[in-house]
Amino acid sequence: MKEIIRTNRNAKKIKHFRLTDFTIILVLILLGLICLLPFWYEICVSFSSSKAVKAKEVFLMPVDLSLQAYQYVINRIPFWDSLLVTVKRVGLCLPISLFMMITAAYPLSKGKDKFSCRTPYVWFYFITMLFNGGMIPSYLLIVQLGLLDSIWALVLPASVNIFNLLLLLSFFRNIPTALEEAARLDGAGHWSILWRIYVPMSLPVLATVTLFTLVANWNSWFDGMIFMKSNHYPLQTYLRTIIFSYDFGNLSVSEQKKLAEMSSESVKAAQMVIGAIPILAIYPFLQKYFVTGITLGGVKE
Amino acid sequence: MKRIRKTNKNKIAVFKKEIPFHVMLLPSVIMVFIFSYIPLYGLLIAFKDYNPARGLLRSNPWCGFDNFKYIFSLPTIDRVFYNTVIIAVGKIIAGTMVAIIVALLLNECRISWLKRGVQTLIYFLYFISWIILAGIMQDILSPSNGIINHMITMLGGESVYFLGDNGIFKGTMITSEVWRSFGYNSVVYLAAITSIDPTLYEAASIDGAGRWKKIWHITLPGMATIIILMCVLNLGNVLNAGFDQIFNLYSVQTYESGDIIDTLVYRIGLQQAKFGPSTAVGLLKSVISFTLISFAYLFAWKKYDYKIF
Amino acid sequence: MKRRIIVALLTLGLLVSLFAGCGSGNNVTSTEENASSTNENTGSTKETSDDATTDGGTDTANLSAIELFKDGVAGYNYGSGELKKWEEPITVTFGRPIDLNATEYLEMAEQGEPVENDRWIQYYKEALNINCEYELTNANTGDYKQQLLFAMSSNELPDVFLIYDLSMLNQLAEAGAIWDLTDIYQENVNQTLGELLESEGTEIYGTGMVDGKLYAIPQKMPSTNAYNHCWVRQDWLDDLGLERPETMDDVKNIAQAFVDNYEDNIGLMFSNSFLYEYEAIFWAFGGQQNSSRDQWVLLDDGTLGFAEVQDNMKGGLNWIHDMYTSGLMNSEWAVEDTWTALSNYVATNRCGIFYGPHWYGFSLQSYEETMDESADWVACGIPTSVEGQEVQIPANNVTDGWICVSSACENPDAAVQLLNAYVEKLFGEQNDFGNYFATDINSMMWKASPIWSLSATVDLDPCADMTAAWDSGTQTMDESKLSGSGLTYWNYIKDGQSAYDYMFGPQDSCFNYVMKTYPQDILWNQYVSAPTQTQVDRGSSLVELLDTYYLKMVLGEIDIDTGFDEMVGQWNDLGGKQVTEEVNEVYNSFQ
Repeated sequence: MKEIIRTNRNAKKIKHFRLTDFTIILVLILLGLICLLPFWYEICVSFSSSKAVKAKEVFLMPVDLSLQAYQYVINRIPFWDSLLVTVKRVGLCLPISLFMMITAAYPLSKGKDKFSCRTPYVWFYFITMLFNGGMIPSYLLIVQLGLLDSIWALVLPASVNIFNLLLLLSFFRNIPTALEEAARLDGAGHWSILWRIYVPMSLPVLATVTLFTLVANWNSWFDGMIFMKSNHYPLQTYLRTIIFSYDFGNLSVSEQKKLAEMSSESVKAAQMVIGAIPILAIYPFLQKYFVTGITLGGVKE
Repeated sequence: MKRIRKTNKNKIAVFKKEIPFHVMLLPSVIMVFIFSYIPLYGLLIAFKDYNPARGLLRSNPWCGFDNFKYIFSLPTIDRVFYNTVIIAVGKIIAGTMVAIIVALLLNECRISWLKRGVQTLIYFLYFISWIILAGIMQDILSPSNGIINHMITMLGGESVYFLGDNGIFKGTMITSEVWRSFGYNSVVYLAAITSIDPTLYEAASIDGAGRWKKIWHITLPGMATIIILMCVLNLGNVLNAGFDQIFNLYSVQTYESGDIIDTLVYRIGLQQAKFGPSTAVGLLKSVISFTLISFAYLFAWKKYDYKIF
Repeated sequence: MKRRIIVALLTLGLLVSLFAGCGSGNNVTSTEENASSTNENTGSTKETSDDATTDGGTDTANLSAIELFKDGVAGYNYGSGELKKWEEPITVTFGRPIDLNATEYLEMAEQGEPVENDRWIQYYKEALNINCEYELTNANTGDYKQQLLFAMSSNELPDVFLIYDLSMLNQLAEAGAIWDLTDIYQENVNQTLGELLESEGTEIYGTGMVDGKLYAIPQKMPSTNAYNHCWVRQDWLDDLGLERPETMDDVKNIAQAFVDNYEDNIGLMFSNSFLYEYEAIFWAFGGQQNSSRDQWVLLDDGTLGFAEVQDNMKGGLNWIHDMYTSGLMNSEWAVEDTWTALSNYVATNRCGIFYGPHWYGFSLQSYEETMDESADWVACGIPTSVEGQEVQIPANNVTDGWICVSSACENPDAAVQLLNAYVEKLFGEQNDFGNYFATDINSMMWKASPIWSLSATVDLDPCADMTAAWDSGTQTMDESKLSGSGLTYWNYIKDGQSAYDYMFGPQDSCFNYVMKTYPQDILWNQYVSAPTQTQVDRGSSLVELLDTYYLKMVLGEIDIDTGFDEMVGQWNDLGGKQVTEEVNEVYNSFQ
């Protein structure tokens, strides 16, 4: 008798569980779709003919499949020029930035007992998170350094990112000191401890910082607009000039003509898709590290 | 006398021992000094009658607090501060709540491939620039052509001007920010859940606690610290309503509900060439944020022993 | 910890002041250098001006800029066709908005004529011995302005550059960063240029003046750019047996008929900027909004008043509000900019009537792919509110930017001489208009020069030419009668570029209407000087305020009569009153 009741109860429980599980799965799938669909829609638009787009026929599949928009974009020389600038910028900024942040995070991850000047250094970095002198002095600085319209004007100012530094140093802080002490007994200096022990152990956070640096470099447009001449614009700055900058102030007919030509929805969509492709390509490889990196770096249990 | 000499000696010894640290910090300190500290002199523009054509700062006369007076004489300044705080706080509250719920859902999901798939999708948005996201939003939210309104009208509703109606523009901004970052924000909470001692759950199961009870009595209390902590740390963001997002999505029609400090700084600075007032607003914002963040960090440190640095 | 924060703040303060010290330390020397170089410059101006007067042999008295403003150039050192050729080649650098990667320039480069060394630049080299180099360019006018601001702050301005925002002119002049061109202009201007610039009134110089001195030379454009037209689908009118609109009631009836008879039709198209789709409606009721939002009118009491705060704006607002409540416009107008609206409605056959300037013709051409094949747009004259009464068109003496010369430039007269050479090539007696104005590769060859200025009738001429050669009976063109831009444009039209037909074609085109009404129906802007200080400070806030109220009034959120008064009150409080006083002061100083 007792047994029967128990099994009954279990059966009920299982059924109940299944219902909740089902709901959870449904909600999660829905959330995933909310993030995916807008992109998918944009991709569909970019592969559809502008006629179909204007007639609102495009929904979940490309209509009247056409590569015209992509051909148009790809045939434009400035597009490739700006892509090259961005690639150069990412290629230069990533190693420089990683090197500087790794070497800075290591000393800062030490307690005050091991590094007596830690506090002033911390303040030194902290303040820059909140105060900046504005665009004019930054611009004048770049001019005085002779970096105007040079790729270094995009690379150097962005090379130290305090947020990434924080991630790194919190991660370093959680590396067991026993390893370090053992190495010290073997006579290793700070430099070799950093590169032989800390760096190899920090793969997740390094991958995360790499991802953030790549993304930040890829996505930034404001510095390109200020520091570069228009034929050296990086990709996002270039994209912005054609996606958003409508120019009504000047009655120049050729610009109006260009605008009329460019406002084709599919061309716009194609450019947005191309602008996101590299991130789409790199992200899945770094994503598995990213969760460990950010949690171990950001949260101390 | 002897003692002092000894500490001095100690200090020198300590310094010698720490030389590698200083050397390691040197490259980034130089970079930060050059690119973040040297331009700080530009903050003085806030107190000057600044005309960029006069060239360097010295040739521009001081004007005391005139720039600040100018700002506070703008008829829109109240609403700009109001909009900034409402949008920013809305983003923090809604963002935190959604992130917590999503973390709970992910934790309860038993099918691991699905869990991973969903995670990949929801984290991804965080890495797309607002330039592109704003372009997409304009497309899908358009009252006439956008698919969202297409669906609303198909279901018998009336189309909504998500980006043009002052009544809901703030809501659109908050929702779209949550849309972009809820996945990313949930990472921290998910980690907090995973770090809860599993024996607690086992004990609760033995006591016959159901799923909801376990969430209510174990998971949420286990996350409490991190939730409070994240909220406190977000205090520093109450004046950051998101320049990139709003700048690319607002229009004259929505200035009333969407104009924020950062967009105002941009407009009076770069578009109207009035760098004095523009720098003054920026400085004011920095000082307020600095105070708030300092308190927040202090609180987090004293109460939870959480060190940001 | 508290103590530490305070200490840190103090450190910060110290650091800031330290850097400030460094910064200003540097500044001292460079400002002094700057000042001395300006002095040298002014020295050299005097020298050159002396040279010019002695060399030229004429004794033109240099007029003050105010006399120039009132009476124009008094006498010319250089007659028509005369240019100054430098003995040694000189180099002048330029700043202007230009998209060096635009299709037409890329095509020119492919044919061996890169825009950096195109026919214009070769011509300047040959005729004046001046090497022209682009130093600061940007495809986007807004971004160009920002770059110019930065170049200003670092003293790196190009020798000769264009500005599009007169508030910058104040800043530049006040800081001594640009040459005072009052004398330089008068000594170097030749007759062709002078007459061209003054063709629609000598007041044009007023826009480039600060404190009674000429700091910038306006680049003249045809003021017919200020026109607006009512564009209608003739095929639909024919379908429904309707006449073209002549009164505002007609416009409403046509919109109503289109909405009733065609699927998904929106009626009359509007957009979210209170500009091109609105101005002609205000004009119909006597309101004088212009597209640069800076029209001033002479009031009955002899003072100037801002056009958009006069009571005659209410008629237009009422009419638009009526259209809104009758559901005869795109309900989402408040969130659609012009391009979105055009491509949403006009391109998709959902709109058959809208207001817009002539260059919307380019948009219509680009929508041919998606519009019905039968679609036949015509530009009608502006409908009026009172039958039989002509609509008056408020207009500025239109300029396309202003030419400034950096005080670091050693040959400020080069700017004027280049402009002389430019107008000679297009409008002088020995002109080569056909090769320099528009060609097959580049329909805007005239803009492939670093500076430019067009005659007031340059857009009217081709239309007049084509109309005269057109036989409306047989619907054929007598091509032998065509010349200049008339011929070039006719070739474009034959080539299938319908935009040119919409704008300049021999019948039903925009300029057919202009020909009938220009210049007698123009209401010139009464204030043509650089903006006053308060205009600079408050200008954009003032326009923002007006736009907000217009929006509310059209939506019916506030009553138009009381709302308008409230708006005017607020406008005055916000600085409008101050602006009015300043404008009148400047105005009187010129009288």
